[in-house]
Amino acid sequence: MVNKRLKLNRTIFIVMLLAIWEITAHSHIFPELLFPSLESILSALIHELEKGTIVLQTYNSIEMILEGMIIGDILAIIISVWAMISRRINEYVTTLVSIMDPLPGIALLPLAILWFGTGRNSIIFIIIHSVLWPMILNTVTGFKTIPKIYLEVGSNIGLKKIKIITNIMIPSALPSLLTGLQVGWSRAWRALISAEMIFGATGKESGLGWYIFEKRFMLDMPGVFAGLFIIVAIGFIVETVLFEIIEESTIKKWGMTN
Amino acid sequence: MECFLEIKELCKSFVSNGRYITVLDKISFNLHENDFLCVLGPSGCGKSTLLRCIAGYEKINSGKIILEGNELTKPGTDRMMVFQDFNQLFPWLTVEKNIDYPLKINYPKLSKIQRKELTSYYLELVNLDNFKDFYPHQLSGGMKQRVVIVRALSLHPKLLLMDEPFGSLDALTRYKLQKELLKIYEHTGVTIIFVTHNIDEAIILSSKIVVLSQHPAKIIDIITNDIEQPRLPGTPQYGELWNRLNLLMGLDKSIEESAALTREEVI
Repeated sequence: MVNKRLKLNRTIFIVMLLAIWEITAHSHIFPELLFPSLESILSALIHELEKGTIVLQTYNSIEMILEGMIIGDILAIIISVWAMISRRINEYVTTLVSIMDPLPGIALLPLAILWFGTGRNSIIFIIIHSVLWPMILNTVTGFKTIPKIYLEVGSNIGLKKIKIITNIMIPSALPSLLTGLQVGWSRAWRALISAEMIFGATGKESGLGWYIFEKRFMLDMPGVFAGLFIIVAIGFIVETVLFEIIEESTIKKWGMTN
Repeated sequence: MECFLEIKELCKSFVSNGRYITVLDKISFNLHENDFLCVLGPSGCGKSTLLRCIAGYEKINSGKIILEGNELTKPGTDRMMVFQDFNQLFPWLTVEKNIDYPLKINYPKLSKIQRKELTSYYLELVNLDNFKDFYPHQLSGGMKQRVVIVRALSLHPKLLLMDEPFGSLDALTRYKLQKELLKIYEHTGVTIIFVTHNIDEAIILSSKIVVLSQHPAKIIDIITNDIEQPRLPGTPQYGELWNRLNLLMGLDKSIEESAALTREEVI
């Protein structure tokens, strides 16, 4: 009930924003070239979708981010498990995280270009960097706060080390793991778009960031906004729809949220 | 005759702030199969530590724990532990899966259908078959403890170790669960070690009572409890045993005396 009302409020608010936009655009306070109306943005979006390049570029961006996230998150879990072995390794890992975590992915781009060239590999590198550290931070916290009783019950019912990790530690730490995934996703998404805007002109492999850059270059403002719209839409769907579904079917269902 | 469970001169100490604190001091007793032993002692005396040593969670400093001729050193499914904590079921598994999963690990030869039958047999034993698709957080404390008990039993342990399992329950639920545990005990004949600080609980449940003292825990007395069931507080035997245990635990020491003791502990 409350949820429904919240959703309604949100919709009304978005409609209001769009209305303000439309009124501003039609009042011609700003030149139309810089502040296009909603219908020209929409028609640009439809046109681009029909042409298909933007679909391909969105696909490229999503593919890169998925690849980077899968590698980064698996790596993070392995490192976190390793950090649980001894206090000293844990100390090394947490120190490394506190050094690397504040470093924005995009700041590493010049380095990445030198190491991997101006291609896909550099972007994947930046995504892995964006995902890895917050994921380790959250996974280690999650592992450390596992109730001891689950581990004791686990060893009592005859589980061996690997099974304890996969079937007890990971589900127990799931709330923290999901937080890590979420933080990693939003950082990686930003880093990806930024990196693509700096380079990414590698023909078929270019992504959404490059699309916007290109449209700006050609002063196609409705096109720029169409690109922004897709970025916002994907971010919104992943953060509020996808993660919500994952939480509803796991930690919320299991009563593991505070 | 060889004993079922033999505890020989068990000593356990912890290091705290650079000095040794002896928790268990030369604990020795024997147990027969099908015994229901209650370990009775004041809070914090080391009863739980004793149970954790038998379960294999704690390394002992000296002494021996021998179960059917084998010395015990680490946890195993031959001794299943039931804790006081309500959150010992895995929250990510349904009630049914919580029982099914240990079966799957320990009896890989059982088919899915056989495991399902076993699971519902055990859930029926504690009248929770209707709740098999629930998640643990949807159950009450008493229901959770009942599931934990049958989860432990389903692995056919030689010993069921219970660490104040009903300690956090309200009096009514506690009474019901005691009755249920007695029923299960008669039904399965499992040997039980049950830790409690509650004299009534010890009298109602046990066939044998070990009374421990505090700091460090030593055995004060071992009492055979053969009062006929149902054990009702109104009967003379009940009252007699209650008085004896109460005296042994020294609960009627004056308040000043125990306050002095507490101060000593702090120092």
